Amino acid sequence: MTVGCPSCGAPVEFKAGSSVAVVCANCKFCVVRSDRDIRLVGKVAELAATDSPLYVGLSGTFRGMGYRIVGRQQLDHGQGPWDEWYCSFSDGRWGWLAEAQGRYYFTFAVQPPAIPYDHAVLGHQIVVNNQPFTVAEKGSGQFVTFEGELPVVGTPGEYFGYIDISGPNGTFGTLDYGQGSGYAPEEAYVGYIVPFQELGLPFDPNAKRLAAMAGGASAGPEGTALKCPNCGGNLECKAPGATKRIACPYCNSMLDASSGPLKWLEVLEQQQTIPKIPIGAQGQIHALIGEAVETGHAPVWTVIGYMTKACNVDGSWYYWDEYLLYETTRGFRFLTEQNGHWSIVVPIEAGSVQVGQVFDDVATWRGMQFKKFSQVEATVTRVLGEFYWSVEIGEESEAREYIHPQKGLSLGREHEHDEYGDREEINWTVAHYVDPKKLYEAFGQKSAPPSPYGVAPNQPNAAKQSAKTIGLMSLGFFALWIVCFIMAAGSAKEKTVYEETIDLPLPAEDPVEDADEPSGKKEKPEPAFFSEKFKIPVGSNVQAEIVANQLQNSYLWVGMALINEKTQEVFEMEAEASYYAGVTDGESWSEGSPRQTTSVGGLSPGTYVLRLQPVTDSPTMCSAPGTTCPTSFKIKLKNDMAIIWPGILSLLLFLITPIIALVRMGAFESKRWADSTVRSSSD
Amino acid sequence: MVGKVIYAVIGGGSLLFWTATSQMGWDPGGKSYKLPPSVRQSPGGYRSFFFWHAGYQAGK
Repeated sequence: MTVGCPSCGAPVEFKAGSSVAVVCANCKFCVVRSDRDIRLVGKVAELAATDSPLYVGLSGTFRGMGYRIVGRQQLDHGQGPWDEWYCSFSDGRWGWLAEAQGRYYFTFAVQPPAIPYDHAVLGHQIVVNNQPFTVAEKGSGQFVTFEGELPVVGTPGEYFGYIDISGPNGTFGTLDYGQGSGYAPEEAYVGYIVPFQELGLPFDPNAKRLAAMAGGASAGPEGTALKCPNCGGNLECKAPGATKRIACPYCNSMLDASSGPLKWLEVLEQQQTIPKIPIGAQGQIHALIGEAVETGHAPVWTVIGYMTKACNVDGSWYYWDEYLLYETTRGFRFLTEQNGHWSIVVPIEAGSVQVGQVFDDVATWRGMQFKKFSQVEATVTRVLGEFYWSVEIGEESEAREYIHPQKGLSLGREHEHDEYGDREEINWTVAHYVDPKKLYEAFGQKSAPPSPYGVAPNQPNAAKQSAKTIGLMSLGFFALWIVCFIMAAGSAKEKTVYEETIDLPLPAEDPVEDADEPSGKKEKPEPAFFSEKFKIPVGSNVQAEIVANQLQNSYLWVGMALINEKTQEVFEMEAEASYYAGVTDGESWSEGSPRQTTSVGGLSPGTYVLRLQPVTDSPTMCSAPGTTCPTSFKIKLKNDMAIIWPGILSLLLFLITPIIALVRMGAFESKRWADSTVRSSSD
Repeated sequence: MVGKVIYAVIGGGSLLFWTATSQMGWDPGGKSYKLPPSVRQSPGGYRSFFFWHAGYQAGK
């Protein structure tokens, strides 16, 4: 629809059917149409240069649907202007295309939810368009100016409240509250975070920005050298589309790279530093974190920035290093290093993490539960290279860490207050613990990485995996143990082969002459008992049990010998029964037992004779008060007893080994949680 | 890994040892030996005092 401009009469075209306002290209007045008339709103301000690669009139394809950029509005929230592009689709729909930190967001109008601004809490979930989203940012902005056409009328200079929301699977949304908080949003838009390649635009988004940084020189290939405006040193910019700050390594200056040519900001008060992985190092890290990539299209990440951060816990400062990585198609990631432990940190959507609304001890991501480990205020102490936000020395942010070894979730929370009001933002990242040697190899570092010490929060517990395996092995061994026990106990006959009660003392022996003794001296043999012959049917072991009667404060020692009549083999064993009791300091005590068993093994079946030699206290001792020596004892021999003692040793092994593994696992966890600022390992 | 291999060897070995000892009737208690030839040649010779007195230490 083409009308004459009410101000200058020049033709003004509403190219998109959804357009409500358009800027007259001749006199820069804003022309608004309604059902009834065409009217002027006011003159629009000049657009600020933002070096965006997009422009009004550009055409592209998004998910198979052609679109055309027909308008642009410029907004500001105190961090510098940003553009939102009004796109008209070939099927009659319209949407907004926004860009931030090198990423692009396509959103479409939906029914605004009835959620007052103050009721939306950062990090909490709300429902918009029947989908759950997490509140990721709250702030205020100002509508500055526009060009081309717009679907809604905005008053230049008008402030508005906004909430950015993040959902799972790359979904994104924004709620526009217009004037003031406490009202439901006037407009709501929901859509997707879109890689540049999916916009279907036929140019390199970085070339224009790089040229602008170089002061308008023609764009070169990615990484074209720039010059520091302070010292003239050569600089490289790997992410010109997103970089906002560059710390010059030569003169230690901070440079503003957000728009236009590089501008000097200040000399940084920091120690010169040498990162362990140098700026400019490149490597492939997808294999280290189990990330699937297209064959032949493995992304190569470049280290473009380095910073040191610190936090104070109970009066002590703790430091760690962060490296900013950049890849043209995937944006930004981080490497973190503390005490020799390394993690690859990947940004994730705030909407993909669920945290308890009241108790935030646990965060859930992709079905995994992460326990809260620390909550600190992190301060930037050193910077080097380039960054996609306006980093400053001394910049503070709240950092909350959750762990599920070998991963960790980090929540970064920023709060700012400026002329536009309060602005709060949360960012979630997942940290993958990686082997330092493999990381150094991935980045082509020839030197060995520093040896890690201590336990990192997300470090995998090798003892835990080992304990699981040992536990399973022990269960298997225990099952086999039961089988062996059944075999040992089931196959034993346990037959009594001899039983006798022997009176004491044994009859004295007559003195005998020793033929080898030339003096003819006679020896009086100690009394011994020889049994009648008896059969031992099974070639196995024999257990002897002696039971002494009337034993009080005395002992009975019995030496036994089994003699095989045929083979003349002798099997010896001995047993001692004793019993002592008394009262000491008013307390009675006793020790020993009148029943004892012993055994011998390796007997072959056959006929045997048993020789017994009992020994007890002397008659003088036996007649002492409170002493009763045995007057007889019973002996029982059992053949083929179940052999259990090796099983008891095995069982101890199967119990002790998993206990040792559990203790090692627990000791590792105790070391890990000793560094936690919020809980102990016993929680 | 080495620890698990050692555990597997010792655990499996202990069960095999148990199975073997229970089948063979081996018992660590006691001791055995053969009678000397002179005693064996004389039937009942093991009943003689001198055999037990010379080679057998009885009592406490």
